[in-house]
Amino acid sequence: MEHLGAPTPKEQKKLEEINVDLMMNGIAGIYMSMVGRCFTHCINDLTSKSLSGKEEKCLKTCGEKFMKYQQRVDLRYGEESANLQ
Amino acid sequence: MSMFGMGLGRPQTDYDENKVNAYKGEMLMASHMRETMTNVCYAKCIPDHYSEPDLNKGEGNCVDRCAAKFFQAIKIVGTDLQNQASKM
Repeated sequence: MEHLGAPTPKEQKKLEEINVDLMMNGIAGIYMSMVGRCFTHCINDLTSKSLSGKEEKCLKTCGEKFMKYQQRVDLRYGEESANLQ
Repeated sequence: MSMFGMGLGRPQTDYDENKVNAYKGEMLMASHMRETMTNVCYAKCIPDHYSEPDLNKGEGNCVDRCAAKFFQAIKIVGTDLQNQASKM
């Protein structure tokens, strides 16, 4: 983006607003994809309204694992996108 | 456009909208890239069982390689797309 020149303070402010917007969007999207994934994997018995102990444990493990996975992906994403240019 | 340098008919915004939009496009692309990479590498590297809350060694290594390959793929697929776009 060098050809555009550095953003002025006003433009910088606008870009920060856009960035916050995108970040929230990204978090919401990834969060819901995690919930969907874990739900699909862990919840297979729909003969009862309440979660069984087994289902609850599965969801917790799944969520925890996903968060760790996300950290790792973000780390690599940062590295790889830095030397993309 | 300023007319006679007197600032008549100035644009509504006090910043360069084209510039901001160009940056916004980049940011949007990066955001989608992260989301796509998250989804594809999860599908490739994390087998469908969650007995352990930690990433095991194999899974971690797989994620690292997946990230590297994903960015290589972007360059190849993206170059083709850019060539196509520039012909239009």
